[in-house]
Amino acid sequence: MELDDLKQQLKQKLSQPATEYSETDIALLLKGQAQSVLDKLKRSLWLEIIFSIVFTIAFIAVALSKAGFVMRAYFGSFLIITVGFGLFQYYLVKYIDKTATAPLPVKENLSVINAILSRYVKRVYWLSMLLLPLCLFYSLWLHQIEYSRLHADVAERIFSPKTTTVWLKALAAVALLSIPQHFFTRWYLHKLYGVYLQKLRGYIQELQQPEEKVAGL
Amino acid sequence: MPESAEFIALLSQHRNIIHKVCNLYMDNSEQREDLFQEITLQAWKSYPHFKGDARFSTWLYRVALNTAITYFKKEQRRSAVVLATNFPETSDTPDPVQEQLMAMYKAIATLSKIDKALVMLYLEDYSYQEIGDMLGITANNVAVKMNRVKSRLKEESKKHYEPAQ
Repeated sequence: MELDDLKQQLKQKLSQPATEYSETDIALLLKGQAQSVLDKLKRSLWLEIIFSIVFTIAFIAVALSKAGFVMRAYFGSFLIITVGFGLFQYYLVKYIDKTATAPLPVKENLSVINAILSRYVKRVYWLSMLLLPLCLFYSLWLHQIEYSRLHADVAERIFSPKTTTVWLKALAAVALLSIPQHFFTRWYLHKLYGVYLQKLRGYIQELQQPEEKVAGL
Repeated sequence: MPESAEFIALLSQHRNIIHKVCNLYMDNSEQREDLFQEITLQAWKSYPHFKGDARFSTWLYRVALNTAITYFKKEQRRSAVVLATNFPETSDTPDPVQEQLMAMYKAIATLSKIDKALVMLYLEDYSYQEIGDMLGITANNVAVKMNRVKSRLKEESKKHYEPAQ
């Protein structure tokens, strides 16, 4: 039994609708929400942009408040990071809009989705891994600066065994927390996008198979 | 005519393309309805890019196949049996042609999403060059893959169809 022998019948059977849609039904369908992985990613990005705006406002409020120098410097620095983060997310949304709405050939379309998701996953991983040490060491450093502004015995204090112990403890805490953080982040990202990415890469590979290799099968 | 009315009219004329893709890629009517909506939405989003330099049907095939291949929502463990039994109903009376069709459905269900796209476009009588353009591979590669798919379907359908002696 060959595919060609059943070509017409197959075409006919495949055309049978599961549900009949009138033009009115189609118009209603257009009001729905798309469920593709990129549409979901765009919704996540918009949510992150909204969070960035909220945090930006909060950080501006703290930076302009009468709080001490350390607090203002700390939140002022994160204000810049948050604004940069929000702008980058917005760029990514626009990039998805620009590249992913044009109907590309299947292989190219798969490659674009794979590239966008891979980049996003990598960025989320590194951001979550760097955030904790950055916050901790930056606050310790600012604390040293604040101390040096108020006291004369700066050198003595900075190079004291007590300060060294604090820094070493912070370093140990970061190292210890980084291990579960690494596994949790990887697990979480794999759960969100890992399986999907594996399938996408499988399809790309399937389309990339060299002809010689396929012919030799 | 407003753009949406024009799009709806065009899509309505060609909706059997979406039905074919949904029937080929999804196991049950609920999943087919979900995929139908998704393809409709993606086509609507992409419609501003449709310049009219290609046939609407070819353009819609591209959108529909891209959507079906990258669509994983509510995907369940599939089996050839599930797909075949949920396929558009065939006659109740035993008929060798219907049995062969069912066997071929079961065979097609075992193919990968990419190979299903090849079969879909092949059934629509697109040339290897056109299929290659839609999939983003060479016509030569399409020919090689198509031969492989046909052989596999032949072998696979044999498992599900025993001709009466």
